[in-house]
Amino acid sequence: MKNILLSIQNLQTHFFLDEGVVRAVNGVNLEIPLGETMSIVGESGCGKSVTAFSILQLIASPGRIVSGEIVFHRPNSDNVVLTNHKERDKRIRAIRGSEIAMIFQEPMSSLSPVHTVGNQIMESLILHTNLGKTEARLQVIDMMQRVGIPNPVQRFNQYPHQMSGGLRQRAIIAMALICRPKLLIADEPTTALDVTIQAQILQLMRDLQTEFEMSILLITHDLGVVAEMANQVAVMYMGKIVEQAEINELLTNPQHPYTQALLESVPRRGQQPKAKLKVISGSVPNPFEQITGCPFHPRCEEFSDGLCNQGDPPVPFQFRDNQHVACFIREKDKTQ
Amino acid sequence: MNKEPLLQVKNLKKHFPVKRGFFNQVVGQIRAVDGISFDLHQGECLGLVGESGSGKTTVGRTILRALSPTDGQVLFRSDDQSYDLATATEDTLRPLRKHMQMIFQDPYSSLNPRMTVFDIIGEPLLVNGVSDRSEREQRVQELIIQVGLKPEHIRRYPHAFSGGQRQRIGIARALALHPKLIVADEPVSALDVSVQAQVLNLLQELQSTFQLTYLFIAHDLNVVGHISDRIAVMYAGKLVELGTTDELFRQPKHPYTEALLAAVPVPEPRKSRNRALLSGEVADPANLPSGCVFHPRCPYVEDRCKTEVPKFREIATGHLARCHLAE
Repeated sequence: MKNILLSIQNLQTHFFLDEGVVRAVNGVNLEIPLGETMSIVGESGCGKSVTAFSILQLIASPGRIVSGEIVFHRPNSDNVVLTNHKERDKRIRAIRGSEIAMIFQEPMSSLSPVHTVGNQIMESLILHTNLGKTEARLQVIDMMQRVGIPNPVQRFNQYPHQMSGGLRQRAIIAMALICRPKLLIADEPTTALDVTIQAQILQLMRDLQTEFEMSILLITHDLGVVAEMANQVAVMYMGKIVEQAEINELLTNPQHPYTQALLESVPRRGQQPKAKLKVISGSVPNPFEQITGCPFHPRCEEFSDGLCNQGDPPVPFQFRDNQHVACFIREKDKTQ
Repeated sequence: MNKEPLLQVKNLKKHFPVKRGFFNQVVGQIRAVDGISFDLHQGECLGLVGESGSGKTTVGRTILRALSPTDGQVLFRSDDQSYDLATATEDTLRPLRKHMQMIFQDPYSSLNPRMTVFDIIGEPLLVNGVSDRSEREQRVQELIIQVGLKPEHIRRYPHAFSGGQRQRIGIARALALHPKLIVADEPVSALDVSVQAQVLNLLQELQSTFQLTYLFIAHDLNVVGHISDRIAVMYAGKLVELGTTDELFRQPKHPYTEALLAAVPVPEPRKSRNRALLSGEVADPANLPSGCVFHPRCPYVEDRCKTEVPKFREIATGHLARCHLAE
């Protein structure tokens, strides 16, 4: 049995708007193993980012974690039930940014334009440790060097606008890693970057993961990035995990019709040129809508009337050793 | 293909002045597009790829004369006559404009939120002399069906549509005047994968139905490869490689293309994580390196690359590359 660093049980995060309730995360169960990369993939609006923000208790009104439990199993220390703490609790503030850190998508908007990059990286170090300024500065410069920022001593005093997108993203990674977190949550860390820079940043994240022995929760819409990075993948659709599997299993042998369609709709090299791409008909449903039965059934090719559109949504069942699928049809085939 | 090309771009340049100080003195030039040449034949799709800042969008906009080129020729064939769009006057351009249309990247900001779908798609018709409302309405209905929306949608405003549907509206608008050439600037990069596939399929269907010619600008090599007959790779304002999709993917001749192909993550089980990564960042077009613009990042760099500017030369039939070492 693997050691689990973080477990999420039946998480429900809903947003209460005037127009109705958006069930952004609607019953997610997930375990992040120690030292591995778990990835959540899905299209926009499926609830992948809200899951990440729920871990850090950063859900602002009108959103609320309605139910569920998120437990942080700290190595060599006591467990913390994150969901028992409010956004501003001392306990959670001590963990956020030090033991659990986060990288955001936009490298420009997650840095302050009026503070130097070095001071911004140093801030969390000063906040979470008792280090003095001189000592902290040395550690920051050391970290900047490790994430591949050239001339860290000069760069320390520069402002974000003086850096390129790739360097800024490196600075953000330095900021996240400066307190040696056990869990790094990376929300679309390379989406705003060019492919050659993306490849550099992904390589950097893998190297640092081995060096610091941390777990990564990688949130992305890009199945290619997932294939590069993840050990485990969870596919989300409308606030639920529809399939979870070991990466190679998922890529070579996807089971849920949504996962299958998602993988087939990506254009690839070496495909029949100009062949038609497989599409998922329709679009992601209105978030206020409550679909009976399987949330994917209105778009599913294998839809079977009477089975898929009845009662409660399907619960993930074990399809293979390391593969769980939430699909009525697969479950029926399996039991027969 | 033996006919005259629909569009011939010859040594196209677009420089932007850098101004500083109180008197707005010109202190330098950003060479966004720096001598680009290619041909585009009727019914063909040419993909133009490059990273941000490589000048690919500027190429598209300069060809359509949304920007005036600094130098070079853009020869466009219409009714067996050839026009140089680069130097044409507004009066010459106006009747030609209906033959060339553009599809934009962001389906949210490229549609006016205060106009109904009918007004948006009908505007190019109105501007070009279809003043009869019922005739316009009929044409808009046709268009909306062609792009996969429903006739009852034409009274609605853009906010009522999803990203993919909005992009379809943008496509319908571009098609309204039966254009010959469509410049599509990152038409699917703002869309989710499943919707992206729908829009790509639609663009392909429309191309074969209406014999359209596409200049397809994008940063995603897989998307470009899927739809294009030929691909042009741009780096720091110059074309570094041009060839058929198949050849370019199988045998890239320029080190940049090779690196770009290696850098794209593929959703397949990984075989090995060790691959050549490009170091450094995209060249700054205001301060280009000497010799070959790619030399500071090139893994195969030699001494002459630092001083001699490589020519864009034909390596195999129809396959050009700008590299001293390509063979």
